[in-house]
Amino acid sequence: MALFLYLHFPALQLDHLQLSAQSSKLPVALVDQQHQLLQINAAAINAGLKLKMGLASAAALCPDLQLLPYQPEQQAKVLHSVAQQLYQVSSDIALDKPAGLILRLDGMLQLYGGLEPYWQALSAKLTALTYRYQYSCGATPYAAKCLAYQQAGLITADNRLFNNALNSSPLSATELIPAMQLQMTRLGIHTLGQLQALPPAELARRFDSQLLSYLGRLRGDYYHALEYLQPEPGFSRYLELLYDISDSTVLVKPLATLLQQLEQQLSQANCQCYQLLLSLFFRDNPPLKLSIGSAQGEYKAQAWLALCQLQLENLPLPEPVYGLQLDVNHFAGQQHSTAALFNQHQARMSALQLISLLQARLGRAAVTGLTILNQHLPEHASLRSLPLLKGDLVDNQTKAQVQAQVLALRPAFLFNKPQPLTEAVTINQGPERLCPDGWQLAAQRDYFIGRNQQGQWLWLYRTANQQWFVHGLFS
Amino acid sequence: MNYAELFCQSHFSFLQGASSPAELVTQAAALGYQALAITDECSVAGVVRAYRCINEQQLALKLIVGSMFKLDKLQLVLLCPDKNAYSELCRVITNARRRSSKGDYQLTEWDLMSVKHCFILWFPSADDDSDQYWAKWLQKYQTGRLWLAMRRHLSHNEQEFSDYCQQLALQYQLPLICCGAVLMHVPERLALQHCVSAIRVGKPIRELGRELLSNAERALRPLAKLAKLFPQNWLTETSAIAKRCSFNLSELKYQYPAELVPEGETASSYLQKLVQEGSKKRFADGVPPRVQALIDKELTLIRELNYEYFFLTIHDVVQFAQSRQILYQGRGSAANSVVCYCLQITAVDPRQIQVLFERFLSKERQEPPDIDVDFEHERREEVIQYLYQKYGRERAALAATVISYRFKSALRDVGKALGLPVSQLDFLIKNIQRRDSATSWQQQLGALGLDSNSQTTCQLVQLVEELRGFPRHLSQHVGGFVISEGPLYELVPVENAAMADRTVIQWDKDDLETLELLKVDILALGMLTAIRKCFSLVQQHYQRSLSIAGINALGDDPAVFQMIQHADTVGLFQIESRAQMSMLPRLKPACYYDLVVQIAIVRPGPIQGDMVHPYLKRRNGIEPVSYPSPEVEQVLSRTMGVPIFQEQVIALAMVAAGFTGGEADQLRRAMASWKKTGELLQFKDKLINGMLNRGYQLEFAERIYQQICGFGEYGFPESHSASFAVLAYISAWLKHYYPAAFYTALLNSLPMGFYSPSQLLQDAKRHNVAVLPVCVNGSFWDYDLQPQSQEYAIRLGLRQVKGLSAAGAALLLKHRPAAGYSQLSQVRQAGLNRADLQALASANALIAISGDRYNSRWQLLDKQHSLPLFADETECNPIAIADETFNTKAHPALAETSSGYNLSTLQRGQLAAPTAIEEVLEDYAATGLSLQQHPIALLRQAGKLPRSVPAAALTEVRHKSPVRISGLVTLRQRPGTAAGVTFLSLEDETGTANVVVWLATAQAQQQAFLTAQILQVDGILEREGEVTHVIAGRLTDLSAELAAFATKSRDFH
Repeated sequence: MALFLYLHFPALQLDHLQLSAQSSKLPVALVDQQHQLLQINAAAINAGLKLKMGLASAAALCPDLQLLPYQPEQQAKVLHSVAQQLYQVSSDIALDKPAGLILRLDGMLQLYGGLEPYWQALSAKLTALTYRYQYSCGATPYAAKCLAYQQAGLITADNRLFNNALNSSPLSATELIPAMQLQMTRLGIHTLGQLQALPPAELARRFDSQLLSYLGRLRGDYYHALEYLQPEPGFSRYLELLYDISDSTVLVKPLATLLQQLEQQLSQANCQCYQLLLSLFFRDNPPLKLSIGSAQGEYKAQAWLALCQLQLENLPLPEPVYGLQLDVNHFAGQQHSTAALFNQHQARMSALQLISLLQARLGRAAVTGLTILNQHLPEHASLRSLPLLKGDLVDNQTKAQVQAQVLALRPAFLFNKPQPLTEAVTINQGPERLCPDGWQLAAQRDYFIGRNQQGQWLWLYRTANQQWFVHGLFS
Repeated sequence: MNYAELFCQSHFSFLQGASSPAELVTQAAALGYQALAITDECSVAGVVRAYRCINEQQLALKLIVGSMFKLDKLQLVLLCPDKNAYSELCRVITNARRRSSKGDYQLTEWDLMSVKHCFILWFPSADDDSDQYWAKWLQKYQTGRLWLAMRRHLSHNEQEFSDYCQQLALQYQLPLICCGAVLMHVPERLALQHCVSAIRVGKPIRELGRELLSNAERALRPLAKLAKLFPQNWLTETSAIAKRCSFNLSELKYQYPAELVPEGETASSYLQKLVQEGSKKRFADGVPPRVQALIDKELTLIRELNYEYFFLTIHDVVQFAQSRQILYQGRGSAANSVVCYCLQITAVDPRQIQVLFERFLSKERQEPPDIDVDFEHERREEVIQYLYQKYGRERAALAATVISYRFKSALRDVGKALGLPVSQLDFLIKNIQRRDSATSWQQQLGALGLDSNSQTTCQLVQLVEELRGFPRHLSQHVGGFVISEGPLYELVPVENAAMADRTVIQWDKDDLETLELLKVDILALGMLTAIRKCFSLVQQHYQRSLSIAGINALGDDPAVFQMIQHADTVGLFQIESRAQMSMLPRLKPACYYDLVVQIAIVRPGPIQGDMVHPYLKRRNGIEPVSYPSPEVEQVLSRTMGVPIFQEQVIALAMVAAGFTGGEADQLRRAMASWKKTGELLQFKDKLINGMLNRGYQLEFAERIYQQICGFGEYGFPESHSASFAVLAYISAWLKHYYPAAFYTALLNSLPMGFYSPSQLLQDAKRHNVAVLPVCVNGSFWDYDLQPQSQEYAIRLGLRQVKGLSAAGAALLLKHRPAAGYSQLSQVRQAGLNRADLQALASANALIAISGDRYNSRWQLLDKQHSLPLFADETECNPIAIADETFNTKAHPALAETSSGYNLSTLQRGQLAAPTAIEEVLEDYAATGLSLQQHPIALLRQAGKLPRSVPAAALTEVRHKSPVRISGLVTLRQRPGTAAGVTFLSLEDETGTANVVVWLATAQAQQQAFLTAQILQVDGILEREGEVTHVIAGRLTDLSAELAAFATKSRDFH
């Protein structure tokens, strides 16, 4: 007989946030778009707050309540990571978003030699995770879920216990939509027991198939398909060197072996990866960890090796290396299709490849792009950004407007810090007056275009108290 | 140097301009401008305010009326040199506005072609094609009145654009002028301008970037600066244009519709004739000489002030209402005149209260006549349609109401513009206590988690304060009509309102007053509907014909006043609120004028002025009646020396503080807009010093000022109270003599008043009126009177059934057999949809034909019966069919459970019948009320309320003794006038108990206090005369005892 365990995490996102914040003394609540409380912490419960309470009453009851928005994607990530971690002790785990996990147990019982030892292992793992949870076993996923919602906590395979508990379950613990629950209440039907006592034929004449399909799955009459979690692929290999290597360039050869293996695995999965983690192990010193990235994604060992070489070239080693470890946490995307057979050798590398190369050589921080921002003040009108990133001008209308404005004459070179004007200039155009914002009228600047004795075109400004600065140079 | 600013937008260019018209004209005058044109976008909504400000402050500034328009890339300003141009502008605006939905406009070339008088300032767009096109076009149609307008705002590439414009001017021989395109009166408004721009596009300020103004040059700039920016001849040209603009708003005169006066009569003679005819009807035994003298005096005054048409217009409207038997009642200062009594505009009899009729209109007070007419709320539309029909849409329109930013809306919009999260703003708005006078809202922000020193918080505080009072959009006035002889659009632009087929003018009632244009207020009042319905019920069932005047003519009835004195006033007009109820036994009104005082005294004005207790003391003879001076005695004698009414306070400002008539009128207007503008402060010193100088006590003067502020929150003049008192008395009379008809009429006129149907019916039961449940065979759509053992009982109407559509109910009634429905299938065949049928079942309306509500619903849910084939099938044997169609073999598990089921029970009573508690809960869920046991009674029987005293038994409890009560929380009220106290009403099966919760008690037990629907209160009983309160100590939430209880209390109204 099949046996399922349902784990319900009533406040997953909040608990997760609190883990990192470590400030559980303050009452905190997550609210949804309708300003209802969805998750609350212990301090908030103590203040008398309840789930589904409106923001107004909540605020009145507990004025120092901290509010955070409920983010389903965030919670889904946490749920996924919980499942990943439980995967170490239990194999068949299905995600039941937004806050539940369904574990199929019958396979595991043999492995652990019974329910009791299995539950011990699992609950130890759960306790370590520190998220609040409710649980129960059940003969079907829905039965376990319904019981877990009521915090039944049944760890058993006894069908009689299940049935008793299910029969007295309120409809609010079921999967029936609220409208259906209301309809049942208004027929005087409040529990699953009352509902199940009605002949299915009579129900079929009155309600849609959803109800019958729910009841069927609840009882196990209908098959309930579950999609079990697949462990995430990744690459992790350790290579002990045959002899210690003290010249970093010599490391390339053993590394090539590892990269070959990686390429093989990537090819099998038709994937590529964006980042490698290379660890070098020493006898006395702690291991040295290098991260090597490729902006466009790569799977070829040759390409990766070239990038690694660049990093290794200038790397001083504190002592000889005795082992290498190569880790790739995420495989991603599809491999690029190979270039057409008769294509000429066009540009040797793509822009992305060039950037990877520059970054490997100069360091990540040294390579940036430039984006135009929608701001009046010159120092705010552009921004260093990731290379090759398109600007943040979102909608087309503003884009057009901004483009018209950008056509305003602006110098190609802007000083980081404006220089005081020290030479004689002749003013050619201006003034253009700019205020930093509505609050700093005194900080307004009048910009002019002028020319110095050498014939350079300068971008100048005058402050409110008549001081002159050079802010940029026209090319 | 002479300069006239010809392009200036006020904040009536909504969310563009950042200064009020008054600020703009004041600043322009201070800068030495010769003239200022207020040119809002397709609007003249701001000009009257500018005009008023110039007049009031005697500014040396000429006001030019104009408006700015956009049509694709074309932008221009029209200015009015004379009255013809003004009418033309109004017409253009009206046409452009009427083409679009509310708030928008759409100009066409035709509009511009038709311009023959207005001056045109044209702003090239920098798009060469478009500019060439329009330059040619404008030159063709508008030459001679056309200028090319230059702006300089120190923006980029300005020089090039200037050269380009001058080239255009040269090419087309256009004269050049300069203008400021002003949006702010001072540069410091830049932050607010950024803020409103952000609100307009719905994005935070920081995301707008280059869409914002780059500097503060669109403020009114000093002449010296303009002289540097523009060539002298451009500046001189503005002044020349201003000189040619001679139009002044004071030229606008209102022409009343002439058709009201028959040929051969003058308005004056016709009014006199109507009054004479009316007086014969009103005074059947001849007009008493004193009244005749009053009539003559009033008519003379009306003639002197030229108000005949105003009275004739209203007379015409009420004549129409009379002909359609629509109940109405006039109110307002001019309504309380014998002339209005004779014209049947009001039913207040001058013989009943002579004292009112002395203060009808006065030349000294310089206020326009005020007559509002209330009509039955369900039939007011007929009156409005009559006006539209009689005068046409061109000649009648509603006045506008300017919807302004209030604190909450300002905080929300500014907060969004500053990029605060919406949920945080909601939180702030819900939690800032504006009534907390001890901590300002700015301080509270800190307590609510905003860093009070942060830049954003400081900006928020400043911008919210600045934005408050800014107009947001124009809306329609509740009923103020403007009617004219000629087309209205020659007087003022007309635009579309949000409601279909409604048009509003661009001015509100203050603007109309400033220009001395009169409006006619056509208002809606629910109580008039109820009274008229009650009259028809009495006519139908008791064969007695009633009218308001008729009941009034019976004189003050002691039995009715006794009922009022005992605060038995649920459902009565104006005196049914809890505050009124607790005042009634103390004030003990015994005649009509007492009711006038009673209605006016429980208001913020007298309460904040601390006038209630002095009045009660004097009335009960505890304190002697005295007056500080004979002048004051004249004003206050009818209220025993205590100022109660708004008129008295204004009169006091005149006699005791030396206000002139004009100043008193300004004071009155300031009171009316106090909430919006806070203008009252400017009168404080003048009032208090004036009174001190004339020998009055400082304390008295302070109290008068407080009272004025109170009136500002909720103005309530005697003239309105007098008319309301008539209706209050009529409703009391009906309740006393025809209670069943009264409740029925009231229930059929909901929503109105303070009480829910449940509360009204419980009150009815306490007055021994029987109530019958809703039933498919007995009920009609409305509540109805049905005979039951020699009395009439109230039968619940189908309108009370939640979820039942009016169309469904109509079908049900249409097909109802004479003997009533006998089977469910008949009801189905009537054609009601599923939801309607379910609603009927839930309300237990089908109990007569298909059993209790659970089983009725169960039968109705059965889909097979709604198929045509089975429609004739009786309800009794559904199982046979079911077994054939549903193959249980495919579902062995199902077969197992159903096999144990006794098939015979699957017929009629398939489901267990509801329990008593379930019945009550279902009643509340389906109809919002229950005729069965009160939920509290059920709890009491179940032993859940040990030692709780029923509300009715509280009279037996000794003063100051501890007591426990329990009940449904039907009201949580925190009046602004009682600091820190919340009043709760707890309803049980015997009545309603009043609970007072002090702030500290509430704070200590917030959960029970705020969320309980059923509350148990342990406290101390306090009694003052007939008024009993329980002062709450411990609050216990019993809501869980009756889970999912469907009635919600009315919170904090």
